[in-house]
Amino acid sequence: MTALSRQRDLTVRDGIRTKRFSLKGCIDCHAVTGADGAPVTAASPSHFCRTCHDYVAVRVDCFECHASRPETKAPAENPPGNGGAAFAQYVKGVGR
Amino acid sequence: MSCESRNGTGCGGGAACVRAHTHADAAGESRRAFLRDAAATVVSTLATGVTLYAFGAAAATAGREPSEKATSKVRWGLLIDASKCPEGCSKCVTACQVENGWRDTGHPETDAQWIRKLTVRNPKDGATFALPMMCQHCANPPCVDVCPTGASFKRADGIVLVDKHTCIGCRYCMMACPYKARSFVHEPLEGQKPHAPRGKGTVESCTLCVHRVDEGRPPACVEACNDASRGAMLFGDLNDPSSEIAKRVAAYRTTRIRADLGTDTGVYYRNI
Repeated sequence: MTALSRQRDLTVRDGIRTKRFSLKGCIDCHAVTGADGAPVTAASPSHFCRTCHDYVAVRVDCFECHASRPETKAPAENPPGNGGAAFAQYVKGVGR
Repeated sequence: MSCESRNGTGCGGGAACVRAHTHADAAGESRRAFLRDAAATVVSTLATGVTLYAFGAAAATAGREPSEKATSKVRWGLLIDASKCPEGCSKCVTACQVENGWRDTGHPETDAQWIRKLTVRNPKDGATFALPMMCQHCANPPCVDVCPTGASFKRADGIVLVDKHTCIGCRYCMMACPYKARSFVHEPLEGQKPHAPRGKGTVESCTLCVHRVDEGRPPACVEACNDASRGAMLFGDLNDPSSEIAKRVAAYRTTRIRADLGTDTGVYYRNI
């Protein structure tokens, strides 16, 4: 837990965002899929964090703020923006 | 001046009312005289076909490895040209909502607002202009001064953030902020974005899309503004004299909101 807290501070305060320091990295790999084929949230007892925490009767409060499953891209909400193209244009603009 | 927020709730004036002040001290005056002369030449060469589009040379050079700490060699900032920001356009607000997962729930008094569009009107002559208002990422942030737990902090590269692990939700920072930039989360939330954790009982505000900046991408509002061909917002490294934003801040007369408070904001405005 101490190690996790340390990593947390390094990410939040210093901006170190390697997978090692990333809760997102944990979630992306350890996600458990439910009956509907979609990753379950922490509301489900089969969520990978809960399997141990339930056993020792410790409530996880990480997921009151953090997403407990990998991001599923809804097409309507995340339109296929031209983020990459726009960025290329930004960089090109520097030369002007 | 009086102002109205996007949802129609007036700010009510008073000490917290956001008012624009320009530098007026003696040093500022001589600097301004210099800039007047400099601007005459710069405008003639820059004005044709150049929009606030460039990301800044900083993007290429300030990019750091994910394993490196944020460094104070960089100071991230924004330059917003109000003359290119039409009333009625709120693309930056929508982009921020989609990116960071906050939304209106029909309770304007308590809904989170990381960025809002303001229409500012001079009551004497009725002249209006619009501008986006968000966390100004001060170098001397009052929110950090008052935070009793150290949750409110300024990252080395000038981005002012809330460490929600430490935030106790006392909301002193909301009262201290002269820009009304911070919001409190009153209700339990679901479906947060993995890159933007938000939760009940904590204070939040514009993060300058720190997760994107760390990947070398511009904030969502800036990208949306440019995608809409408005080009009113420019993001970059203020500390790098070769960056587009630093060049423009040096070349044009810019205004920082409530500069009289000495907060030394990272958000510069033009034409307000």
